[in-house]
Amino acid sequence: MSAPVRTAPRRIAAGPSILPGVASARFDLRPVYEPLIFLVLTSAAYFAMPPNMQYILGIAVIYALLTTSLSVLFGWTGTYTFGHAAFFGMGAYAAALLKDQAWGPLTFLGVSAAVAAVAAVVIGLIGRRLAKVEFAMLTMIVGQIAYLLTFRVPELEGDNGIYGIPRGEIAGVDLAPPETFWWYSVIVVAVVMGLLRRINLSSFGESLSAIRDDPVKAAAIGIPVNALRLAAFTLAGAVAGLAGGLFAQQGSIVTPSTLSFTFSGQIIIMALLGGMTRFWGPAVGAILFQFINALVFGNTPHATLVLGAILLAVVLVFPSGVLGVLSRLRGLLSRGRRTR
Amino acid sequence: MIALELRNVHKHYGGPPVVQDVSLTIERGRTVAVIGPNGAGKTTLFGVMAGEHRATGGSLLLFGKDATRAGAKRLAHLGVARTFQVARYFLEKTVEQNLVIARDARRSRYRNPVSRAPRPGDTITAALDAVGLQDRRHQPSSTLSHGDRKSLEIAMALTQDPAVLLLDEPTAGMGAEDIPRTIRLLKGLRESRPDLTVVITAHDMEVVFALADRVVLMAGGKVALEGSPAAVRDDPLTREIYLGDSYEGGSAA
Amino acid sequence: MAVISTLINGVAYGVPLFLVASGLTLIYGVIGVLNFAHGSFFVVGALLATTVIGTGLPTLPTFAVAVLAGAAAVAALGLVTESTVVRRLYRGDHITMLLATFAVLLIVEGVAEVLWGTTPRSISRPEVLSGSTRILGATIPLYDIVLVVVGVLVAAGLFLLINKSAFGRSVRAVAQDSVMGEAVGLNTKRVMLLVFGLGSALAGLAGALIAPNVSVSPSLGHDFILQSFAIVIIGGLGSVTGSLVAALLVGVAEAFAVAHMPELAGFTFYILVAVVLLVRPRGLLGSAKLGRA
Repeated sequence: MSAPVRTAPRRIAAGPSILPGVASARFDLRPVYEPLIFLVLTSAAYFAMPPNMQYILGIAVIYALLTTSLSVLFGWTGTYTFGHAAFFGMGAYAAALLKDQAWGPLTFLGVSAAVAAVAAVVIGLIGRRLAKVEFAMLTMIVGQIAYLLTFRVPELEGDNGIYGIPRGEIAGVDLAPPETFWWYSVIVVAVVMGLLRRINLSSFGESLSAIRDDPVKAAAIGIPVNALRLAAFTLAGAVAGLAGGLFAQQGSIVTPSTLSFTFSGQIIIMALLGGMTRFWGPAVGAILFQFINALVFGNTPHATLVLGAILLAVVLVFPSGVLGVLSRLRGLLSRGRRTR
Repeated sequence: MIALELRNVHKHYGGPPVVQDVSLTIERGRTVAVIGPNGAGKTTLFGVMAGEHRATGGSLLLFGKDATRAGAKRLAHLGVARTFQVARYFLEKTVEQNLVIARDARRSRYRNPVSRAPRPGDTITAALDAVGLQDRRHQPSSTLSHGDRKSLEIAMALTQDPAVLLLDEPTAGMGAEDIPRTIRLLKGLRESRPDLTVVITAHDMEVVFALADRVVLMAGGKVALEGSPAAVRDDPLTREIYLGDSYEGGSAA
Repeated sequence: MAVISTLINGVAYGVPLFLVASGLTLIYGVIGVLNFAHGSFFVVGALLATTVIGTGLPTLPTFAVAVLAGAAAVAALGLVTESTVVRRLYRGDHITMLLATFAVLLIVEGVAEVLWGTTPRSISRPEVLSGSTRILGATIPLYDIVLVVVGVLVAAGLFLLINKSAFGRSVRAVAQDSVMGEAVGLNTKRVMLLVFGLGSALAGLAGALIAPNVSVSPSLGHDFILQSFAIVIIGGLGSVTGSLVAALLVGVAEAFAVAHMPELAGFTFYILVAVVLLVRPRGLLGSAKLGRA
């Protein structure tokens, strides 16, 4: 489920088609050029920055993937979760526990994604009969169990965390230097974002948005609501786990805070800040949030207060996030000339 | 052939029964209207027929096969299309996108994460023409008027190419000029699709008399009377049931 | 007898949880808001109690004043929250409401950090209640008995208020259908405001009462809100009786775990939640009507 098989790009309307005259429809290139733009912009910023900012951006692009995986649920499907950090943390801990294996870094990422995906399937199956709010509570509670386990299971080392996760090498290139690791992580993130964008624009993504708009109607026209919700939950878990694996490689340490309830809340806040009605909103929100965090209130004792104030402002004043505000501003500037 | 059959259907939500001991046999190609005062259990019965609610007792048969526990999705795959009393549709999508989704929801590629989102085709155009929404094709569905939303829902059902069509109050909230058009549409549908089975709930007696072969009168969750439209209209029981309640559907003429 | 003592320990452990959860479930049942901020309200009650009592050994009147002050101040906080944030979102969806109250949780916690600092504080039980007594051969702290009595009083009070009073009748009407309530002349807004205040007061009361048993810091709210959510889910969203049953069940299960299966201590909540959600998705006493989502 985690990495959908790519089919030949030119295969259009195979099988019995009732759609006359669409064979000339062009292939949608957004899943290709949008991640490329993302890669170019973030990399340009990265190499123009002082090292301490580079470090923040390095984390921010991983969080961009994490918040986008959250948006698969919140934004695309209308399924709410308050324990998304659990999948991120599971991916990170999977990489940490297996650190002595002689695997390549990409294999580690695959394992991280797989572990989180399996957990997501199990949780999704347990919660398949639950209404929205109860399901959100279930995810929150599962997250808390995962968090508490890190203190209970000796191998997980509690608050000390697990050290020494290697970055490894790909095709003889050592990923240890920061700049090399930047290219590795930003390419991984861009590729996965591209895949997610493809899924987002697919008929599967279309079905998810129907479920978000009205699950009862969706079922009434024959959409397998529960199965697709489970698939979306698994996809989101897998991508969050992959992001967790990448995070572990980046920092070479994993601590319980990666699975905490507080961090789950922060993921939601980051995604909302950018706006979950657009594909790139959560990614923008994650990067923005990391820099606000570092520059504005990283060193004040009032971090919780400011975090709460940001969230309240987003919820009450601009629920469609920064991208929503930007597009509204653009709409005001170019009134009359409506472009989608 | 019998399209839809209810056998001793009961439904309660933890409290007193909303539907009790309802048995109905609906032959293929017929149009049956379920009428009754508010709170008679029409909409709940409808939910049971469409699989939205699971009967707490009795059974539901679709073309002779048991479908009691099938659920809404499965019934849709078996050829049941429905509309809701308060129109339901995907409000973040355009009219056309709503129809595309309804048409394709039962195809397996609709679960395919890499297939491209499908395009509209002739079915969509035909459905739009049938309900008179051609001009609103690219409009966001959330901007439609009340009556147009009902029309949109009917169009969505049409694109599903149903064997059984369940219409819950199809003309409620429609403007005076839309009601005759909808009646014409449904009449036309009966002629072009003689094997289509239709079940309608309606307050509007004009609709019932224009379309129904048979009328089922419900009261207090039970079937009170069943027969031809004229027979039900002329039965003193009908008058009694409606006079005892705040009936807002106009005269039964 | 070890079993009796474990049982009573469990009940004493469950009662404060009931106090926190009862306010949460009351607000959910009537207004349909799952209030994250409840956890921070609870902490404010506890922190206020530490301020009123200070470091000494409090007399019973001082302690009572501290508890009542905690409840009253948190009720006021609840009223302010309802009229500034929650009220604006009644027509919004559940998730907006959850996020907004989560924001209030962070803000209240942040303000508490500024006012009280992040260092944990602790207070003593009142002098007369610091001893213990023997019941059926088990040693029971007097303070635990007080907690149980308070729990019984609150449960009975809530029951009477909701089922027997005029206010309760309007509360039930609003819980059924706020639009209809308004149509028949109820001041729905006021009922909702008062229920929110009442629920918050219960959080403050619980916070102040638990303060002697735990070390109090602004982040305590996170733990308690999670546990309260667990209780509310086990009992059934919106059911006060359900919360009572669930809190006692969880309390006793936890006490048995501590006594006999220490490796499960701290997890009993979550295990029970998982089991209940699997077997009865609406909770032990949850009704389909109030559990709308």
